[in-house]
Amino acid sequence: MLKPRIIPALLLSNKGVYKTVNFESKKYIGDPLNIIKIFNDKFADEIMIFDIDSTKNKKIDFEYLKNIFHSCRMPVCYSGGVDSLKTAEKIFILGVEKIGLGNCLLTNKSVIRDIAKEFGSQSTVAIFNLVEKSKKIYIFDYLNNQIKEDINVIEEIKKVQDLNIGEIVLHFVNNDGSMQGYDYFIINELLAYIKTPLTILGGLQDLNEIIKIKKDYNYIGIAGSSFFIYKGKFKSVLISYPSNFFKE
Amino acid sequence: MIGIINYGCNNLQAIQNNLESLNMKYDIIDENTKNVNYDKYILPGVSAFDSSITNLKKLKIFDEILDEIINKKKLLLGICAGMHLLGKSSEEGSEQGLDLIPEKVGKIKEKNKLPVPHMGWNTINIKKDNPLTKDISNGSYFYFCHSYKYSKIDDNYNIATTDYEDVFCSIINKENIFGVQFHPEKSHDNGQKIFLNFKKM
Repeated sequence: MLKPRIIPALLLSNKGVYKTVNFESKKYIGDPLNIIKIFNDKFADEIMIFDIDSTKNKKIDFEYLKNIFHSCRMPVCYSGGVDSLKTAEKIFILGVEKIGLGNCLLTNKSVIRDIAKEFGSQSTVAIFNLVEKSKKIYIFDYLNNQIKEDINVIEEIKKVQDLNIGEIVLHFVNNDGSMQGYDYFIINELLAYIKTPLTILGGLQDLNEIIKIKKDYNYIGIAGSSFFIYKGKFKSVLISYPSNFFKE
Repeated sequence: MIGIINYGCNNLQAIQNNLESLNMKYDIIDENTKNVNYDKYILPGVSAFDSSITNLKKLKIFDEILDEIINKKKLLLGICAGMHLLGKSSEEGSEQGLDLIPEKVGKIKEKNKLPVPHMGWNTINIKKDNPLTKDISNGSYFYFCHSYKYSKIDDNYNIATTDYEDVFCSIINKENIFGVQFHPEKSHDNGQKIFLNFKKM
């Protein structure tokens, strides 16, 4: 039996792991190699790495990322600064299974098609940064700090699936860092349109929420960051992972 | 000594990391390689079928590798898309496979509306004893990430199966040719057992 994936998501910036709240107020968490080592030892199902400097500066530090990926013993989904087939190839060769494409969803969709064609759809992931405003769902363009009111999210989801994307990540911007639960309004509105594997990110509260998601949605990938990083009500940094959670 | 065949588009580094942590010696075979003489070969893969087979055949050393496998019966382990290349052909593309295993690769049918690709941790059901599955218990979890699979397959080659939409072959073996549908390099301790078993053969 397939089991749902429980996925720590790490935000990489300035050679450290950071945590944000609502995509803002970056807080330093620790050294990425140390943190990844803990997730290795806990046999994490998968890991997501968001390199926000690469996205912002449109320049990837391949030598640095090589060390990061080298230390990952679990499947890796990398996202940040990949805007061409050539860049994607240089990332895959460093030991990455999947590339998450966020920004080119808005700008240059042909990159998605190119990567899916060359590397197979199982290697391409579309990341939708979403906000909910008076019961409507919008894409959030965090590079320009802008809610894209003119873009229809459902149409975008259909488009990327037509380009043979292999996985869709719904990232709830307003829930980021809240640990108050995922945005179920968005999930339930969009679920019917998603034919690929789905992963949700932003707001994961606790183990009970993980159990509930498995019960209600079965195979959804359950991603989070604060949940794996913080402990207790004062949010002290303590890296943890629920090993063997769904394995019999 | 193991030769890892690098034909351009695959997650090579992850396999290297695993072999290094297990103290397994390897070389990378690529477009600069002049000759090959290894005990064993690994054919990795995270790519689409046509681009994979085309890039593989472009290697100057390709014919020598085939000679090692077909005539000298050196061991070959194909991983994920690398396993698909071992077959006759794939529904994913129009190119011919290596035909080392006389079976065809098809698309996972979305019968029960489960999402495709099949992505995540799933169990294997071991059908036959095989040196590759030594010390691996039935029902062990491995990491899968694929849209295509071997479905109808000769029982003689079918070492283990996995269930997702339909039952497909997750470990294949015909004589010196081995293939795994999952990614042992990303399957933690169970994956390492696969590499160790391959080393011991």
